[in-house]
Amino acid sequence: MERISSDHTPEPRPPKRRKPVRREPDYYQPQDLYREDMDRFSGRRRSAPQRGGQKKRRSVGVWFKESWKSMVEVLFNRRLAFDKPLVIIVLLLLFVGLMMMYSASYAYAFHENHDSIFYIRKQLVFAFVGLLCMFGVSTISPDQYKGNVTLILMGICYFLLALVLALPRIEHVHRWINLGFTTFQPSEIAKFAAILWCATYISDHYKEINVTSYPDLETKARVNRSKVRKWFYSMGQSFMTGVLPFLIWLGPMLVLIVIEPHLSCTVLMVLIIGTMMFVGGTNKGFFTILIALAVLAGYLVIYTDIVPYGSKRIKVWQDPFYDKLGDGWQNIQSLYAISSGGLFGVGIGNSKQKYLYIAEPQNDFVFAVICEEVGLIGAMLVVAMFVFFVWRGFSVSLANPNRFCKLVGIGITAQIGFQMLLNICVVTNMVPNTGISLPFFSYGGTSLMMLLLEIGVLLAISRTSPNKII
Amino acid sequence: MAKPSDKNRKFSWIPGFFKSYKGPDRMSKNTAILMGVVVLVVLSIFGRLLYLMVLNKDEYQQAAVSQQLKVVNRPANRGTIYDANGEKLVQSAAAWVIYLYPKQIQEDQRDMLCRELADVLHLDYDAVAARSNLNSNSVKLTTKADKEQKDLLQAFIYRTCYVRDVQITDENGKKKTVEEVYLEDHPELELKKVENYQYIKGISLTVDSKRYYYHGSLASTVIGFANFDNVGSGGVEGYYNSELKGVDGKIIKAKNSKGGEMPFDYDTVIEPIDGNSLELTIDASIQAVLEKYLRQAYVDNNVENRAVGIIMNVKTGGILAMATMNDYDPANYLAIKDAAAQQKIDEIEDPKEKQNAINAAQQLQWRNKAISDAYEPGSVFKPITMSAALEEGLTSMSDTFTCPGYKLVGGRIIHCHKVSGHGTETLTQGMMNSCNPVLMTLGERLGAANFYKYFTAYGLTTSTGIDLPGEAPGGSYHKEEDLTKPQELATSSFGQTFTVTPIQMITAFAAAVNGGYLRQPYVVEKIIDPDGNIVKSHEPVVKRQVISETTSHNIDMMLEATAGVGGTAHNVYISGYRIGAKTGTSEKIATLATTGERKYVASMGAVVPVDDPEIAILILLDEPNNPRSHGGGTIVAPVVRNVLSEVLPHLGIDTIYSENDARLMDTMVPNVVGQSTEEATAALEAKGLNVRVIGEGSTVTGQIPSGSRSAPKSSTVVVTTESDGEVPMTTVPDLVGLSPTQVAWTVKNKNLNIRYSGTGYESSSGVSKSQDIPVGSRVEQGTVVTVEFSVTGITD
Repeated sequence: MERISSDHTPEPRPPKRRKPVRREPDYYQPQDLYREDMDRFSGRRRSAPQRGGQKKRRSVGVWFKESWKSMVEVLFNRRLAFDKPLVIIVLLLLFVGLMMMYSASYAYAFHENHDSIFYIRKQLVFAFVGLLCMFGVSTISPDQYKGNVTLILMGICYFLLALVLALPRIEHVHRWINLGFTTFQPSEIAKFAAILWCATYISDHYKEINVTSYPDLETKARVNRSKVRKWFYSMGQSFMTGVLPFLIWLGPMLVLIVIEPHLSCTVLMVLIIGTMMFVGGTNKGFFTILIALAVLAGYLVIYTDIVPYGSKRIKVWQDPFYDKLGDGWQNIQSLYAISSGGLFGVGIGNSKQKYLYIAEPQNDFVFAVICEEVGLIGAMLVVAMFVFFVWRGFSVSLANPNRFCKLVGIGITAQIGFQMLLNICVVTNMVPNTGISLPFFSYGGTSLMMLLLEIGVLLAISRTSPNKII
Repeated sequence: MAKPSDKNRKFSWIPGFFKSYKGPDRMSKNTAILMGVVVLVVLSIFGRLLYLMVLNKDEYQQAAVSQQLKVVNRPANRGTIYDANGEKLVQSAAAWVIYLYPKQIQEDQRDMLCRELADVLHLDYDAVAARSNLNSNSVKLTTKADKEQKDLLQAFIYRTCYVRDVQITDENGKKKTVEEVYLEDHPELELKKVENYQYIKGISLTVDSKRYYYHGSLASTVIGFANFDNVGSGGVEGYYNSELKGVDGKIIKAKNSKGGEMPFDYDTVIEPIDGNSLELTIDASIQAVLEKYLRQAYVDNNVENRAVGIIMNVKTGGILAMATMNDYDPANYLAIKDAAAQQKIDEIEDPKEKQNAINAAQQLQWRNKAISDAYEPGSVFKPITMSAALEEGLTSMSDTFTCPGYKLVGGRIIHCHKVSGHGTETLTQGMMNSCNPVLMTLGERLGAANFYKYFTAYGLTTSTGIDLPGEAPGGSYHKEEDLTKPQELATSSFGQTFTVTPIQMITAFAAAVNGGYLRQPYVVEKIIDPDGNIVKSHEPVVKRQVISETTSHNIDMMLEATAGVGGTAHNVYISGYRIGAKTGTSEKIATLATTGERKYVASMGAVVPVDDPEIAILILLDEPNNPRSHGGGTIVAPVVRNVLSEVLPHLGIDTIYSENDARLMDTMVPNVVGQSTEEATAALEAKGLNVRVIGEGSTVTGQIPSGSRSAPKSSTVVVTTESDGEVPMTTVPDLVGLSPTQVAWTVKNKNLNIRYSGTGYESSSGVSKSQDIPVGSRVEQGTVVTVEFSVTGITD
């Protein structure tokens, strides 16, 4: 049986004035609970005035002490605890990721900068700050992002994407903004913004999308036409509600990213947005058509020479030795590293392929070094950790009664999952080479920060959910 | 009890106690589908990883290993080459290969580096600069820098520097760390001091092995050379390359993609095994003597087509010396040593032609003429024919022949070199006169079959098998069926109309004189491994006995007579040694037929001592251009004589003087000053010296030749007494161009003493060639004048 629940859970009834008795509700409205806790966290008191009647001026020390106590209370409030398996798997992934990144990077770092810990030092700083931010963000109720926050973020995102095109190129592409101490990619924000926008839109129009996509449920009686015409009609309806708004709002964003150019990010965003639409209930016919088109396009690119650049990339993918020292180098060296690992690997720190064979082993091809150092068993464990994370992410998202929160959680989890899948597929030469990083493992300060922030949101979703899962 | 509504319910697998559960909503279902997709992709990734890492890992793993390994070659030293007395002729020692990496050279250092390289390595600056600008990763500049040059360059490249890391932003806006290097310390910059820092970038020095030739060009055609890649070429270097080269060692290291080393204990070291050493039969001293006089003859006679000299130990077949003029310098084997040839090449304008000319000149100077080129032996061959006739019993030592100056063969007159004829002569005289009709008669008696049998038995139809590369299989000769033509047989019998290589000739000559044993010539006595153990020692090979020892002895005696008074080879005579020799002058008939020019090969074969032969020597000058003569007896015999006069004492061959020789030998003049006249006279006469006393005194106050000097026996010592202090003076007359009798008479008239040198002074055939004190000098009476004689007017 399928059930369509409305987006908004009803507001709790305001307490009657006549009976000012505080009663524990059956289940907490996360916002309320949260608001309460947030008030305490920030040191504000909306509740009853203090004893003594007079408002006391508190010293900074006392404020800090109380704030600290409140934060600890929020973080470890059993009622509001975040999902422990999720936190554990995230911390584990981060720890293993940093360790492997260090192992993969030190030779390259020494060659480039005469400093073996050049990358890991920066990454550790970002990881530390990122963890603080993660726990900080996890104390913000995620439903607050809906609406205005999302719109403002979209605005910022469009502005930065336009700005980055105006800025000088870094490494031949308009991809990074140089902040002096570090660089960051607006497309990282774009992914999050797109997730938020999708979640906002879908949660606001969930019923319409689903009703138009599955007309049999409620429009059966009204639309009394032939099956073909009915299909076209419903597809049209579904397109208006389930596809067109996404195209209008997010299409230009994708175009901006494509002309950066940043193909891998585009692919990832298409996947994320597609996932959101799919989960949100857009007619599956569109996905069927999309997959059919993708297969057709893939066929054209692979077996014809319509797209010369792509075709080169495809050729290298099909046979990396086609351009052994040029475009194929990365793939070949990655395969060499993976095969060198064997079942149990050569031991952490003992990779030989990281000695400048794999170009920038700390980045996209870190998984190849992992394979070499910890072998098939270790690599499968790493992938399994990601799978566990994805499953847990989906679970905690679905457990949250707020549809916006569900969608944001699914989007974030899907993003990390897809990124992992794409990266590993590239490294094992299962798909053509696109520059896509492995979350938690690849070097990149701002992207790690962004990742941890998003996980902070996921944690917030898990802790504001009354439906605790095992 | 079912409720009415239950009828409308579809069948569900969900058990009853979950009835309150309404099932997953659509979003959960979609998410589950999504999760399923993720799991599917993950499973396919697992499959792929399993394939790459376990099932099919060898393919890429091995490729990875091979790219990660760096093999550093550790060259083995080539073996040393010793002469017969254990003296080092050639040795390998460390040398350095210098590579340039043009792309790594820093622009501000390029000029400095090129200048230093040109300076230290003695190269052209422009050439070095051009190579340093090549668009390639590495350029091999030289392979043969010695230790001194390497030390200079090392000091230039590696210096004590002060270094710090600085961050720069490259053109892509990417931050990079680079090293800043200073030669002086700047305290304010907080520099780190680094010893032996590679200050000059883009150059590397790698150790290799280089060949050192201690005696320059000595025996270069026998020894050969090691080329650019340290591979032996020519001579024993080429023939014994596999023995000499050794086995190169290796160091296998892990390397990164830029060629640097990885910090792994991954090194595998395979030590090089040095090559085996060779001990030659060549004696450096003898070789040096041979080359000295051969070069002299080569220059004096303006030889057009190179000259050859071989000295062989007839008891073993070992080659004591083998020289070819003009030769080359093995250390610099590409350079044309012959100045005239080089000049000719320089005059050529066309670069292609010039290169061809250079190649031809190089090939020529590397060619060992002694074994590679055939010539017409001429009269030196005559002992061979004679030995065959003697062995077959077709003639005897008492046999007599008549030479009218020609012989009619097959209706054609073939002249003797002495057109007037030698008249009636014995076999020995036939040899002494080198009489062609005698040899033609013997050839006729032998017949084609016998002649060919001995020709083959002496090994003149096959290569000798000497252990040197490039030996010719032999020259062109008449087959047995051709020899049935009387003219071919007649001319062949005195060494014309066929060719042999010098090594074949001396091998056959040695067989004829050493008791008839044809031995295989060889140059390598022993092969010694790096630890000093003898790997292989040469066993002298006797191929066959061609003639009996008696016949051989007869040949020796006839050759001795030929080198004696009245023989054509008398110019070779050295008093005290029993030398047998045969001269030869062959006309190049092929050249005469094609160009009409008369070209000759002058040669001589000799054997010492004839009673128990030790060594044989063959010297030939191919196309001499001496206006005086082209005859072997005139221009080659003195060369042989000079060589033997130094070689025979070196070999320790005993001197036995004949009576006549003993009379002319030097003796020590005793010091008689201060003695009484009677005592002095007695002392001098006891030594076989004559005395002429000047003055009436009773005590000797002076003597000429003075005491403790040597003077020929039968000299007259002029002794002065106290009454007449000074020895009277006299003028040295012109003694050149006179017969021995005239010289003796003139000298006696002038109250001088004479020391005979050269050959031919015992008979009337000798003519004085030079005197050691210039004409017109005022000298004291009794002074010894050395006059050199030689035999002229020899034809053979």
